[in-house]
Amino acid sequence: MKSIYSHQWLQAFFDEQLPSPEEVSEKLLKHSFEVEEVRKTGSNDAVYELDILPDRSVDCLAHYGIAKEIAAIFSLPLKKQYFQEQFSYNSAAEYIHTEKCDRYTILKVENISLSETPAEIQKHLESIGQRCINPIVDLSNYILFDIGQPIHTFDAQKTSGQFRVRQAQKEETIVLLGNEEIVLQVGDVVIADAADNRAIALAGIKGGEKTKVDENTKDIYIEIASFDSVSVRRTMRRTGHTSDAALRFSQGLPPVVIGYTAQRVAEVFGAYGSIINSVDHHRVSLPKQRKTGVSITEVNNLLGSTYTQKEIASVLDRLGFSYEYVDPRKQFITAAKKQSGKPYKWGASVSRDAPDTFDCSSFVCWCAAQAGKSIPRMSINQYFFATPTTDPQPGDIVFSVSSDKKAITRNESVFEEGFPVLPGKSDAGISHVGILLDTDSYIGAQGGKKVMISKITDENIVGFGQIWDDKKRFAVTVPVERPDIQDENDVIEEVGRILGYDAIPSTTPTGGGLHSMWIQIRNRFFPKSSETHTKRFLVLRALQKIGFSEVMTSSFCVKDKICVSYPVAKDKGCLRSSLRPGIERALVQNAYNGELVGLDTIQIAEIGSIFTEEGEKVHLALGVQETVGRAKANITTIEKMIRQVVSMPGSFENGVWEVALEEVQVHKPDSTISPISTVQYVSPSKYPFILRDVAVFVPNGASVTNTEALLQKSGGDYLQKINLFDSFEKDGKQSHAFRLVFQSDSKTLDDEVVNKQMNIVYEALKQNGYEVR
Amino acid sequence: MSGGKKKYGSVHPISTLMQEIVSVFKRFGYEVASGPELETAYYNFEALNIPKGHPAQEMWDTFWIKGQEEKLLRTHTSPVQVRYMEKHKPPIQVVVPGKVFRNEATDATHEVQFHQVEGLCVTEDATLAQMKGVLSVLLRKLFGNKVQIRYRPSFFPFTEPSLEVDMKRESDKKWLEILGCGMVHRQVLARVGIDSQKYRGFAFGMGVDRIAMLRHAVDDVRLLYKGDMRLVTQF
Repeated sequence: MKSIYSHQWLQAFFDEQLPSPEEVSEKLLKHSFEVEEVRKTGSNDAVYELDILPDRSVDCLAHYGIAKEIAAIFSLPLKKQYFQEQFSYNSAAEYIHTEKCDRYTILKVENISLSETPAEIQKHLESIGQRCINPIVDLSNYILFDIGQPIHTFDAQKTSGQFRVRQAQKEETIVLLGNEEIVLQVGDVVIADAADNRAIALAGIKGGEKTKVDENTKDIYIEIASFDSVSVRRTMRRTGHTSDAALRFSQGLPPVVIGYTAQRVAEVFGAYGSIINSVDHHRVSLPKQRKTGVSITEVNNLLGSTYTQKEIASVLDRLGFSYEYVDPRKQFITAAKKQSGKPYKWGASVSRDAPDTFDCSSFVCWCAAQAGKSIPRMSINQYFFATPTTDPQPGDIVFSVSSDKKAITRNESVFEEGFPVLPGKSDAGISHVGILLDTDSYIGAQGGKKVMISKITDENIVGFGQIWDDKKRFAVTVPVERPDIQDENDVIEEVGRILGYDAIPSTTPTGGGLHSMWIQIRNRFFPKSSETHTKRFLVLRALQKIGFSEVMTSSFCVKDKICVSYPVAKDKGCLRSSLRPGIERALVQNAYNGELVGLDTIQIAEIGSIFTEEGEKVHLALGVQETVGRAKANITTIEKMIRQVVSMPGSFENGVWEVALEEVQVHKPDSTISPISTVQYVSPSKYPFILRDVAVFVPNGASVTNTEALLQKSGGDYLQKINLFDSFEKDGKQSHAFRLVFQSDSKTLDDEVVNKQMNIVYEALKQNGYEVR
Repeated sequence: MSGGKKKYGSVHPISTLMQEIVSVFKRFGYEVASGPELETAYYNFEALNIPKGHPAQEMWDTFWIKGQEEKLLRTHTSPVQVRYMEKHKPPIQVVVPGKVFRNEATDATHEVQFHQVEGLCVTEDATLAQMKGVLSVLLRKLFGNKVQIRYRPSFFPFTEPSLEVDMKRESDKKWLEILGCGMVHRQVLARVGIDSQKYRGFAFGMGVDRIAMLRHAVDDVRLLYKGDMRLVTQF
């Protein structure tokens, strides 16, 4: 998503002077995002248009996110930091209204005394092309473009102060800001005033006219919420109403950032009014800070780099990620022991419930994260993930099965809490997992009890697994505004991009060793002609030798059996069930232009997919037609030539021969690869051409080439093509007939011009001893 | 401008280019694979770590098939990677040429159908550095030894890290996007039953039409699909 940033606004996050906009933009491009444009505005500002990658929409669709990128790239300290402290709400409530909103919070601000927007904020907003409207609206916009979270303000006098998020009813209407009434559908989400249940805002998209703030507004409700991205996107698309807020909600804004945004909102608005009340409704418990991590080896193994501990640490420092460099086994055990006594809760979530409650596998998973490793959440998957060991050490994982509990013997799901595992099967079954402390005890969350140390009883043990390679790890705490950082590969990407992909060497791939060598040999000497791409190439190569040119036509057509849901054009609503119509169209067009390309017969071939109710099939179609004004194409001869190079069933019908590619056999496959072509394409003229025939008896010793050269020389600038179309000998004299093609790149030629030129041609021929017939 | 009958026919510049790209990878020991143009949402999206309803799906304007739930015209050649990985165990090196579709308004640089070549390498020791090595060989082959390349961060749901590769055009010194690439996402490997702790992979994909247009100075992509001999016979 493209977004605009101001250099001076970014500068406000730093004490030090930022590098020049040119330098900033060059580095942003290499380390963060594509820079669509950077342009100077006013005397000392510049704006950047950046294309923010979809996984960074939470933090980087705002100046703070980009300031953080600049801080990381240039190693500059940030003057102020957001997402550090959460706002403490007066009251919190389980949220019950709708599943289309994960968290809905309201701050009430009274007695706002702000006659006009502060100059600094006004300057910033105007620099990115935002119109300043009203001090309260401007402050809201400032917060949006500063921290990235959209907020909405309601005039407190115009609502009851009780808000409800609900799905719209059928045919319900709402008057949006700007006095436009729209009709809603079920699936749209609205904010309703609980007093009369009337919709007062289209959730996440636009506020309503009725409750808007105006120049008399003194008291407001500020909504900071997390709306369902899919609903916002759908409603936005259907109604055509969009806004900077809607674009951000449609990318997804996690509920956890709201508390931090609220803190910023309180700071900004608190300067001009008093925060009286605040309510936090959330539907689910909020995720805690996530940990993951990486080892130096993992970084270098994936990138093929030789980065050191110091270099990796510097990236984490510059990004503002907090981390420890730990001995993972020790850290794993330490983290586990610290949780002793915590209550057991079956199905406790790692991200939301830990470290308050655990079940046995969430406990192991959470403790591993504290030591910098993301591992699967479920015990059965942990079993498949870990490397089995018969010499277990403290810090390995112990898997067991208890007789009284139903063991899970199979893993059907490959995914859980975003972590990939292999599908697998354990015959023994796994019902319990814990962390080994020494030869006869382990720590784990015991069903129905708590986190505690227990003795190992041999009969229940299924096995031991290793998850640590005993290399020290960076155990990284993921900043709340970076939901894109999930596991070690995400951390590695940060290292890769901040240190720069240009810095990573370019090495020769080792490929797949012997396997790859075998394929190289096979590719070279025994091409697999059954494979569609290879066969396609071999067939075209064979047909090319007998004069067929390959064309590509559209896979779409006006009407057929298989159609698409939302066609781009009326004539492209369906998929072709045959190549014939496309080939026929191409024949007609090319037959007209045959003289221009110097062909008396158009011979074209296409290989492409066709779509029928039986499925998709690759077909070959050949088309033959004489150039307009030339002798009829000799289909029998052409068929004979085709049969010399390939065998395929059927024959030409009305100039087209279509077969399934699988039915075509090439007699002598030729897999030589043509040399690289650097031909520069010349656009054909848009203007019509004019033909003139000239037949001559040539003087002794004049070859066709000589004659053509003479025609070319005398034919003038408009002579585009000379096609020899007839030759014979009579009374010892050689006769040639040529068709001359005249065409201009810039105008329609008239007969008079061409006739004049022909006279020059005749004259030149005569002077050179030709007898014009 | 010589007259006379042309004995040989021409091969479409897109075909020639696909063949050239494929041949570079064949020399590295890559196999060639093809797959259907009419795909399922599973192979086109979900198997590539793009869940239903995820905003990432909107990166691709998709032609959905009327009356057939979950069927679409593939928006990239990547589904073939998944199909290939389902049938083959690592080490895997495969290159996939093919036609793809995007439901967007057409203009001189956008056509609803175009071609891609996609590559995938899954081995025990694949690295981003190796990927750079392979791609620099390819780009030098296509654009000459002096070609200037730069790598920058990008995002694709099926690779992590993800990168974009730009090439500097000699004529106007402008940087142009030429291909997307990255290290195969662990979710993508796991889906097809490849152990992502043991194997790593890199993948890349490029638009053939765009490269053809750059190389042959074709100024309107739509010309490539009109079946016009005035274009084809120039190659």
